[in-house]
Amino acid sequence: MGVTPSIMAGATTLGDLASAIGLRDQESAIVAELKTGSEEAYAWLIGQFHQPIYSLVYRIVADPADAADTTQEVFLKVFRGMKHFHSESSLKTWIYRIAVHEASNRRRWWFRHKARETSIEPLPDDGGLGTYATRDALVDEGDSPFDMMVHEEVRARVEEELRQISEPYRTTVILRDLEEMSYEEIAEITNVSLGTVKSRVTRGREALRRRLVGYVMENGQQLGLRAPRETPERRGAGCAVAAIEVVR
Amino acid sequence: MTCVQARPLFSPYLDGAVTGRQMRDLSRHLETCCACQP
Repeated sequence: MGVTPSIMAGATTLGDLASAIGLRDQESAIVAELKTGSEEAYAWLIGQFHQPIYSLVYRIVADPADAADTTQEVFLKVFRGMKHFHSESSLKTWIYRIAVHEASNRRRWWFRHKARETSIEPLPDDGGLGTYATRDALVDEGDSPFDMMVHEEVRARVEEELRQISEPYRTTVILRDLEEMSYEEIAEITNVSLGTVKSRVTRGREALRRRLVGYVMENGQQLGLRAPRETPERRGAGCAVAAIEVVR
Repeated sequence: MTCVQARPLFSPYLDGAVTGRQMRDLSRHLETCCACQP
């Protein structure tokens, strides 16, 4: 596909286009401010990206307890690397690329060093999905794919099963279905071709669907769910995560 | 369909999440538009 500035991803009319160009100018101005070390610009950056980056990192790292430290590392790298950012990609794509890289490194480190350790910490009683505050923060507002899941137990189960999907499929599904990034943005962030992104999304969704079928069969009636269709290609933005359908 | 209208539909198209009409219009656009070719 032709290169599309991600900031223009939603532009559908001339008015939107003008607005997108305005946003691009605005981003250039912010980047210029960041490069001068403006504290206000950094405060804006953190306000804008801290929560989404934390949610993304939280879902990628093996141990959720690592999410806060890893997120901090991401922002340190963003701050230190700002002078090397030359707007080849959008600011958002660049920050997400650093976050995916950092979280994936952390995850690999965890499997090499920590996976065989036995924790003396008490097991979380919420299925390892963090405190209520964290879970609340992880719920996307608006038209998130998770909106389709009205039941907290179902949402938690999908999160849990998503953690079991192997890389790189998991990160790709997270970026597409939870972060709602375009295929082009994901290709930039993960540094692979568009075709590879497509294949990873399809395989990741299928793996998630397979993991959820048994759960739906067992609990579907009780939770008001019906089993996902066989085909991995589904309509709607949250195809994979909506492997379960809530009967309306 | 113009490029500006087509581009936001690329990802939903790859997800199989566009309507039949959108898919038809997008396919026609892709057949003729060099800038939007993969």
